[in-house]
Amino acid sequence: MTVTADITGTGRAAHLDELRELIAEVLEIEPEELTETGSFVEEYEADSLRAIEILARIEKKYRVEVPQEDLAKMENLLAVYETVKARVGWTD
Amino acid sequence: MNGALHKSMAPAAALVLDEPVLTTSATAPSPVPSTAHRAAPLKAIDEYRILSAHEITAEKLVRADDPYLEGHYPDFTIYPGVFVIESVTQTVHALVEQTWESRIEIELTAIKSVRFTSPVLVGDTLRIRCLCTYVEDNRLTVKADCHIDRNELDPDLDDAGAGAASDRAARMTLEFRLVRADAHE
Amino acid sequence: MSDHAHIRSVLPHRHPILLVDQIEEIEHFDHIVTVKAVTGSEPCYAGMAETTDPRRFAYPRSLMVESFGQSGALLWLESIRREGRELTGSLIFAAAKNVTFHRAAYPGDTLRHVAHIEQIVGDNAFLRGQTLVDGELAADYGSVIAVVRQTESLDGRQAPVASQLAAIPRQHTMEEQ
Repeated sequence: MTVTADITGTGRAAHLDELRELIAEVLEIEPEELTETGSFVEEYEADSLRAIEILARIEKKYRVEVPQEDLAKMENLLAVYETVKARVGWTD
Repeated sequence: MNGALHKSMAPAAALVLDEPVLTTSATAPSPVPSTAHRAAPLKAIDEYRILSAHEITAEKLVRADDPYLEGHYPDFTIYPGVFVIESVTQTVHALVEQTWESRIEIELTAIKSVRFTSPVLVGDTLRIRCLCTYVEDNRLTVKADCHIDRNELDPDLDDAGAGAASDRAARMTLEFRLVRADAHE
Repeated sequence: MSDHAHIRSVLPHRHPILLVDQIEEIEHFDHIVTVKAVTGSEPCYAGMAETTDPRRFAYPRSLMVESFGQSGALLWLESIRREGRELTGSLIFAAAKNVTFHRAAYPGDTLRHVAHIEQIVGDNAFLRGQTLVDGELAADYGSVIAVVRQTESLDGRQAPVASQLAAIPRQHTMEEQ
C-alpha cells in the first residue's frame, strides 16, 4: 500500500467510514466495533453469505461490478477498501 | 361467515395473562401428539422439553416420507427452510400452550430475521432452542437457534474454521401475537 | 408461457410443494406476479382434529412464504434462461428480513404474489415483495435471499454457506468429483 502525504486526508477517511458503516450493517454490529484489520470471519462471525451481502451492497452503492474472485480477498475493512478503491478508481 | 373470518384472529377482549402455571421444569421430553389442531404443513417437532416459562428446546428427525418432502426436490431432498421456521413455531406453540391456564394460541406476525447456515437433510435431527420474551400488548419475541445432529460421523467436520459453524442450521428472530383460543367473532 | 407446465420446466419443485400455479405478469430481471390457489385438499389440511373453528384452517404462513419464495426464484431462473444461461445445483432459501404478516388466507382464496429482484450477485438473488389476498396485503417481504448451491457439496456435508470466505462455491460442472 502506497503511503501518500495525504494519508489522513478526507478522501481516504471518508471512504473508510462509508465502507465501515456499510459492512457493519451487514454484519449487524455497531460501526465503532469494526476495526480496520479485524477479520470478518474470525472476529465478527461472518459466513460466506455475509461476504456476498457486502459485495452486493458495494455494487449497488458504487455502481461497480466486483467479480467474485475478489470476494476471497475481502477479509477485513482495509482489504475491502483497497478492492473498492481499485474497482471504483478512487485517487485517495 | 367469511366476512369476519378474513382478518387475522383479532382478540375479542383484552387478553389478560395470569401467572404462568408451569411449576417445575420438565426433565423428560414431552412427545407431540400426531393430530394437529390447526393447519400445518407437517408435524414439525417430535418432542420438546420445557426449561422455564421462557425457554424450550425441541427436536425433529427429518424423515424421507415427511409431508411435502418428496417434491423438495425429486433428486435430492432438503428439509425446506420454511419448515425450519415451522418447527420453531410449533415449539413456541408447545411452550405457550403449557404455560398459561386459559387456552392461548399464537399467531406468527413477523419474521424479523432468519438465516439458514447449513441444509437440513433426511436422517438429520434438527435441535431447536427458543428464548421467549413477552412484550406488552400480548406479543412474544422469540430468538431461536437451530442445530443439526448429523446422521453419520463425518471426519471432515473438524476442519479448521468449518467445524464450529457447520452444524448450525439456522438462527432466527420471530414475533408472535397471543390470542384467546376460544374467542370467536 | 404463463402456464403450469412451463413453470414446472423452470422450477425444480414438484408436487405437493410446487406452490405457484400461474404467472400473471413477468418483466425479466425486474418483477413477477404469480397466483396460487389455496384449496382444502392440500396436505396441510390432512389429519386435523375435528373442529368448528374456521380460523384453524388459515393457510400456514410457512407455506405462504414458500410460495412467495418460489415466485421470486421463478422470476430469477426464467430471466437467466432467457439469456441462454442456467444454474446447476439446488435452490436454497438462505435468509430473510422484515417479513410481516397482515391477514390470513383460507381454502377458496387465491394468493397473489408480487416479487421483485433487487439485485443478483453470482448465484445469489436478493428479492423483496408482497402477497395479496383479495387485493389486501397478506404479507410483506422486506428482503429474501435465495441462492443456488452445488448439490454435490451438500452431499459432502460442506455447508452451502461455509464460514470460510475463500470457500465460496464457484460454478463448476458435476463431473468435477
